[in-house]
Amino acid sequence: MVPLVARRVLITVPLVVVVSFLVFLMIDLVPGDPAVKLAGENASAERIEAIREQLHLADPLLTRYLTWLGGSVTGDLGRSFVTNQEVGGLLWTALGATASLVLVTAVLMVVIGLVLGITAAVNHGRAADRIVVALCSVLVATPSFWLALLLVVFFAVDYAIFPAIGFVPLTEDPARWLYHLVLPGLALSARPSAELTLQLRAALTEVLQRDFVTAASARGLTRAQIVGKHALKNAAVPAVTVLGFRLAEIIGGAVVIETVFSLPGLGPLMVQSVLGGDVPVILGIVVLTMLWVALFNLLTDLSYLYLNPKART
Amino acid sequence: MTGTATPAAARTTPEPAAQSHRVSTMRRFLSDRMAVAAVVYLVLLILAAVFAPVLAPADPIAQDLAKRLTPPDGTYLLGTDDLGRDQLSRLLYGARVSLLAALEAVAVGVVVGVPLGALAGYVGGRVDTVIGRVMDSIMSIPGIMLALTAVAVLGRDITIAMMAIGVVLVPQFQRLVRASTQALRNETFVEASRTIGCSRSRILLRHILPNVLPVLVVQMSVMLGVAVTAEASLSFLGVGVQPPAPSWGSMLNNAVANTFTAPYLIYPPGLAITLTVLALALVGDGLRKATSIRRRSGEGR
Amino acid sequence: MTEPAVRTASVSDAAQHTLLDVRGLEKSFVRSRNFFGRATAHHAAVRDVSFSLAKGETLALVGESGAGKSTVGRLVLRLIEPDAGSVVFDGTDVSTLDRRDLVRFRRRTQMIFQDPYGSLDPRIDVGTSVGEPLLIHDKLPRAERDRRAEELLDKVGLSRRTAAAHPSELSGGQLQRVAIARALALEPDLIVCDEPVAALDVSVRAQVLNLMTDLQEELGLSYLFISHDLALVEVIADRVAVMRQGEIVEIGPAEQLYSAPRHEYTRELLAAVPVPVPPSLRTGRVARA
Ligand SMILES: Nc1ncnc2c1ncn2[C@@H]1O[C@H](COP(=O)(O)OP(=O)(O)OP(=O)(O)O)[C@@H](O)[C@H]1O
Ligand SMILES: [Mg+2]
Repeated sequence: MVPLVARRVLITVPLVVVVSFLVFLMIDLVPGDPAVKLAGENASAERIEAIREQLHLADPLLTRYLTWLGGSVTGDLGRSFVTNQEVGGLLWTALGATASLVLVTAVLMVVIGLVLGITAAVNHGRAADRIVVALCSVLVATPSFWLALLLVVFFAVDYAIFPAIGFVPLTEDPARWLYHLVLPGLALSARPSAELTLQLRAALTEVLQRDFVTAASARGLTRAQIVGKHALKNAAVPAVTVLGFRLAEIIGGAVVIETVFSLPGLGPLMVQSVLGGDVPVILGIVVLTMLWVALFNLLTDLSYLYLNPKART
Repeated sequence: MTGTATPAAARTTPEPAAQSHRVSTMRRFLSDRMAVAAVVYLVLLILAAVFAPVLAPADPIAQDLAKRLTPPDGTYLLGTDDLGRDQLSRLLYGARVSLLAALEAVAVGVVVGVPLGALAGYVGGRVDTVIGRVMDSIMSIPGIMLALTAVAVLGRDITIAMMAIGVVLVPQFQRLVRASTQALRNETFVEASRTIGCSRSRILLRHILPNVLPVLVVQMSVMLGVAVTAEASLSFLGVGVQPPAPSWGSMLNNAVANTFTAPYLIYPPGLAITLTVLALALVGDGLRKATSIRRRSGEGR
Repeated sequence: MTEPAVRTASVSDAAQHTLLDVRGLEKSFVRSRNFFGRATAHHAAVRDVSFSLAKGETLALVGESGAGKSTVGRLVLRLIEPDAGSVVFDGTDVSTLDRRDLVRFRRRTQMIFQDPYGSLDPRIDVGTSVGEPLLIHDKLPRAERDRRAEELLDKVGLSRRTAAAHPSELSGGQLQRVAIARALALEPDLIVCDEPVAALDVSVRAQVLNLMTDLQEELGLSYLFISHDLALVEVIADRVAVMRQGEIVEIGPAEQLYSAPRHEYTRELLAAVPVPVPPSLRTGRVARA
């Protein structure tokens, strides 16, 4: 376990340092006045001046970078150019919505993946199996944000069953929290669910053909018992691995889905900051993203270790 | 161990080959109906993109506010958007923009990833370890985030965004080429090349890379799909292809504001993206199956 | 270690001269590494191996799987670097060769491998493979290479038309002949044969071995013949070295080793040979019809 944690730390810490430094470097290297560039088109002179001051553009590159790095290590990520709010606070609020979305997505992934994966494996080679495989192949190719639009048109426009936009914090009203996250969760989980389904189907099909399963059915166990007791346990390792790695990278997909549904998460915050040249917020989100990915990769590694005791050395 | 060889048997000549290696690979691919259908679709798509100026019924950026949000009819086969632009024309021109953008990203991935993979796989040791660590790091940045950051600091431009996506694709190619090179490097024919005096570069270029090519083509096909989706996502967010230029993603960006009044706008670009990604995956699958021949071994005849 | 007399009458005085002299070779491989790529465990594959090989002579290297035979073959050809010891080829220490001299060394030494199906680049036609050494060393033009390749294929008993075939279209025996043709292209002095017939059908083995002995007589080749098959070795080898766990436990003239093995392990190996070798074959030549 310790080596796994060490490994992730050894990958993540230099990565965060290098990427954030590259951002500073790029701002400097881009030809033209960075302040003008970052402020975007039609920016007022005050705005440009404010950015110049906020970024300490008069200081040398390294000083600026080390100041930022020193601040971040102590938890001070600076203030937004646009709203002047603390970046830490902005991120914390946005993370609430993003984490909510990912939580719902993860649950949907597991449920959809298990149901479809087991259905396909148990009906190996039959119509149900082939339908599941075809559906999953199409879902893997479908861009999540387009699926989101289709869901909105169907469930929010044609039949007003679910809301098209908006977010209610979990602490405020759990029922409405979930109600607002069903469509975004479905859209975001479609592709990873399809991958998980195919993965489970492959693993289960393989396990169901092994000798001990035949032996178990000879002992009179029902198919459901076999799947539940033996097959799923054996198929769990690859499935959990897929789940973990997908949850790590889902933060990228969440950006787009949150924008479609106007969820106040990291996605819209990132897009606004990019459009407004809000460097402190962008840096904060980038660092947060890398930590997110590292955390989920680590959790995946650890769960692999837990499920696969042989790998513990 | 017997000693009964006759001179006649010693002078064996090969049976004239019924069919060459290449022909049978081709035949295997053609027997995969889904893959063939996918190729046909992609060829038509490329033709549509190339001949967009001929095929498009209208100028893709010409606005006609009098005709805004016209649902599909005889004149506007796919309707018009909120600025009265013909959607079919935008879809055709959009194919150009989207495919070129995807190609840019994949080109970056291949040009950087393949040499790094070959180097790591062939040289191994410390070089491999260092390159591997860098690739691990790149893999832990979601492509969209990297592209958004690049656009924020370097400027809002689809080429910059797709270069960033290309960076994220580098490890995908590097890992594949590394693994194949490592496998090939231990093949007897590579060791044989060394014994006849081939230089390292000759072995890599003449013996290893040509043998990596089949899996590389499969990977390029799949990664083109990834890049098409990435372009669409970025343009959808408004940080990729900039208006008024059409791309499938920017068309959806435009459509989303009119979901309630003109839902017909969301179907054509989304279908185009989905079909293209699906077709690229199917072609990749077909190629993988057709080129992975079981290796012969064991008994001589 | 004694230098036993070379056996057959056909070997002339010139052949008595030592072509290859190996002293104290050592090689170990890394067994595991830590996170930083630093080696944490080693495995000694070759330990203090010494032998010599005369011009025109065949020395067999026998031993069970994993004994280190192939590793010795690779060390001799400097395909891998030894940890210690020296390989002297025709008076020159191979480890001192720079890039240019190494290329010259490569033209005088060749190798034939166990797996005929894997010895040739699957994407290149047989003629091009056979002609490749002539491109690398002599920069011969394409037409000339093709002509020589066809001659070589003819020499190893294959039709000239084979040149146009791809490896996947040939049988194991044919492929091994192609490999021999390529090895001969540069008229080398030494060929390391790593189990050259182990993967072939019994009937094809004899043909390929006959070809190899014929060529040896004609061209004065020396063979380092690696095998785990003692019955086969007795037929082709002048001298035999027995390896176990990286070490040579016994080395000597073939007849002596077979009739009066000195080392316990050699006796074990001989006892395991399934069929006693018929005396008719002990002349060192595979009987031909
Ligand atoms: N490149 C390598 N890396 C690590 N270990 C190796 C390598 N090459 C050989 N070894 C190890 O060295 C030992 C000797 O291997 P070698 O191939 O020389 O044996 P061999 O006598 O030729 O056996 P075989 O009859 O199976 O070919 C084996 O334990 C093998 O696993
Ligand atoms: Mg060997």
